[in-house]
Amino acid sequence: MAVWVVLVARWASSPGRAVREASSPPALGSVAAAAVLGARFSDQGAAWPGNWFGASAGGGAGAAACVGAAFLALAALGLAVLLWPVVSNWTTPTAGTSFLVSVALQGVAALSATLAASYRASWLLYAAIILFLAGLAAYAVIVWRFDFRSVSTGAGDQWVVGGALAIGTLAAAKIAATTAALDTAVVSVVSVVAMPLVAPVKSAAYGSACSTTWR
Amino acid sequence: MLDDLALALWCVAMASLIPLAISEAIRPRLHYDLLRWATVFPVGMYAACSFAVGQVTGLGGITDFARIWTPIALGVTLLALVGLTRRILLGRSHFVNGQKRGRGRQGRKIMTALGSNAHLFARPHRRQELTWCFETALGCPVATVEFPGMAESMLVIRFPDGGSLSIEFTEEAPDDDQPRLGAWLELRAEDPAAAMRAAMDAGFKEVKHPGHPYYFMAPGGQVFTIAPLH
Repeated sequence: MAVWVVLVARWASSPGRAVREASSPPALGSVAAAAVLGARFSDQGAAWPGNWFGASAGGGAGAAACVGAAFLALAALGLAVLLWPVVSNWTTPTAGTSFLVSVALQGVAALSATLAASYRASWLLYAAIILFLAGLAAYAVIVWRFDFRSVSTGAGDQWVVGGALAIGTLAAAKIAATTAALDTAVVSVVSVVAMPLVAPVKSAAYGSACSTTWR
Repeated sequence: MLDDLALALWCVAMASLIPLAISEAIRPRLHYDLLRWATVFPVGMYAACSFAVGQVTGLGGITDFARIWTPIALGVTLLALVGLTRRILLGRSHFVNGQKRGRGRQGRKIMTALGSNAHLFARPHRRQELTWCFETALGCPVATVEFPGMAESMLVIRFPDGGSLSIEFTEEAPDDDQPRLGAWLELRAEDPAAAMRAAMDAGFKEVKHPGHPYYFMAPGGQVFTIAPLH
């Protein structure tokens, strides 16, 4: 969590740079940061430290989810505003920072899935699933044109290749947890929707693992 | 089924961690770079996603990994913070020195040495010749290094007794058939006469210049002199 405070501080401390680079993938880092901060606020009852406002203690849950919802609105707005400029200024071969497109999508997906449980709002869960799949697709496209030599020469951003997978995993886990929590019609609908999608995604995911470890 | 998907993705993410960590060990990049903050986030995210996957799948081992990994992520964050702090403090102190100097305070040592690393520019068509020149004719190890933001890879020659030469290739580089009257560089050898003979045998052009007899021109016009090692 300290990681995110630092990251946000970094982005907040250089707004000029953020404006100038609004059309490059690092701009989407701000979306990811907002999403993950929001997820931390609204992550009530999680088994790890970070329950700000004593969210899991009971009455505070609503306030924490409210803060999370504000972050979700901020992140979704950022995604809507920044995604097109970034994609239209796309350059190849892709670098580590290119993966921030996938990171931003997965970050918003994870927050959306978390809040879907807090508010028992199934539409947020569907949004999360769509964003999650979009994030996976973006990852596949980006990794396809990635210059893997930067894994050994990169100045630090090559780690986002793995970080994008990690936040995608987080989104998947949140979606799974929320789907289990909303045990109404949502579960069956989600299962039906997800069933044909999971199998190819799984095999694609294993495929990209092979290409990642192979280098 | 969805938790299976999360578990599968977790395995993929963990698989990606291995080459990333190994390449950091093989080729340590310990200098501070702003892009290190793009390392801090993924390292932290490995812990965050492991907590979530451990919880949703009920696999204690994954949660244990997350617990172990959290202090590592914190350590990486602290390292980046230390690097950032040092960068800020050093940057500020340089600025202060520059200001004082600017106001005419004489006698302060601001520059204290001339480094032993030189960076040259050459046209791309000289690459083969230059590689051959250093590697085969003069017996120096030549590495080809990709650098982010450079269209062409660089040649890097590290000399066993210190100093390095990097050559960047661009069409805008100067290129001469005559010895270029730019900055000349000094190579060192145990036996300058023998090294000079090797250069002559390899077909390099000898350059006449007052001082001592060992000057030669590399392909593209750069002049080197050979001085005794000690």
